[in-house]
Amino acid sequence: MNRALSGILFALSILVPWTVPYSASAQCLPSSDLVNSGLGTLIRSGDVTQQNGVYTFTYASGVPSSAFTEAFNDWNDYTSVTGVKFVPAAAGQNPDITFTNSPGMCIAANPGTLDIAYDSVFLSRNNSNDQSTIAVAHEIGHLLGLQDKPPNTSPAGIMDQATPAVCATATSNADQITDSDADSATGCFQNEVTKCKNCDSRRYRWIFEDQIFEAEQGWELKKPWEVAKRSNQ
Amino acid sequence: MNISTQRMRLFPLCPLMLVALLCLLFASQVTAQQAADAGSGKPSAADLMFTARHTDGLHKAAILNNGFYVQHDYSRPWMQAQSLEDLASASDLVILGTVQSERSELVRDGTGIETHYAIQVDRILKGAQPQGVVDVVHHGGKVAFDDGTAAVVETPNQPVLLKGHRYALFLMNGEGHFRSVGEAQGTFEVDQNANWVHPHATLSFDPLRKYSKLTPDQFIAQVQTIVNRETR
Repeated sequence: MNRALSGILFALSILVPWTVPYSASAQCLPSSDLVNSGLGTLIRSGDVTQQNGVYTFTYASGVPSSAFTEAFNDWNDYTSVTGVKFVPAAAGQNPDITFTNSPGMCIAANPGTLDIAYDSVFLSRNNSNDQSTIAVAHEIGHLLGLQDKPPNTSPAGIMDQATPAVCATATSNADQITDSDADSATGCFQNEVTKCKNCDSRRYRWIFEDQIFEAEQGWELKKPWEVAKRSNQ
Repeated sequence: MNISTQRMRLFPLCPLMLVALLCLLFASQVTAQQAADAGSGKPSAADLMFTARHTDGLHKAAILNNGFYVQHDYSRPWMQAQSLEDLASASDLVILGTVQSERSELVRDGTGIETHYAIQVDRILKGAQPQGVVDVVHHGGKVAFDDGTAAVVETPNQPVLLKGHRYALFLMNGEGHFRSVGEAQGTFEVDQNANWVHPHATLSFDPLRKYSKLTPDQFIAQVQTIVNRETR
């Protein structure tokens, strides 16, 4: 009897921590994305170091709109939780996070290159409502390692995607970064920092007869694949 | 105290000593690797990232990285279509078409790559297109430079289109070309021979992935019905 009870308790102790946050909190990006993440790269290379428990990353001072500054400030409200602070780059300094005008993107972030792409349609809706700030905060969430969530989840979170798929009118049901978002971001960011901390994610690749070959360090052939046969499966 | 007693007292420390020895070995290996990297002049990932983001950056990063540079672009739009109705209403043009050719080019002062696909229109489901071929642009691709170096921007969240394959494409007008609505979401491979539909949407919870259960005929009929209802 005691053995059965302890078995159930043991099973619950494993399952509960995994199932409860899964339904309520934002998830992290896939581990392959985290290994190649820009924030982790900067930390591993020693370009950004921890000061008083906080990693400070710079963003390009020429922000496309005030929504960008507001979104970084919103995440800075959670610095004590995440251990991450965002500040504008000083004049002449290479920013860690950049902004690129990229037609057709509306707004999207690339965690690998630490770039937030936006287009003129997104800028035209700026400041018309707080949703522009929400959208940028969502993209910063990606830089921190957070994954998208479906639209209209309950409770609402910053990683909820917006609908409809029209840049000019899309809205998310999120209206702010939540404590839960910050907690999730902390976990994902720590994954970025610690994952593969002492390994080198760089690989060698070369093209031969329309195929890309990839090898880990030491030139041992790892896996060839045809670019043309790449799919999302 | 005899020697055997001393050994007995030291015995509990053995695991600790073993761990300490392993730590030392690991640290020395990491240091040796870092020294070897520094000695070989291999650029750091951070150096490559900074280089790639400036004018002519992908080319410079390829030169810096022994002739070949791969950038991973995981970006995905903020918005998500929830249904074919969402996709259709956001589209200027919906077509069934076959990829004739592709060409990749540098954009944004050499910091990005886009691929232009020439799509032979087989059937127009929504909108009007005077010519038989449309130019559809995707982010990512590969570019070879004159000096023999090359750069690739990989887009795992937007699978490439394959030459000779047939797709249902939900498109919005760009500047002289078209782009997929919702990036990967607006692209469905339609294979009449294999009798399947393959949505390119990559997120596991993407509601558009459910259309993989339809046959091509069922899928096309459903899109046409939605478009007819919308334009009525």
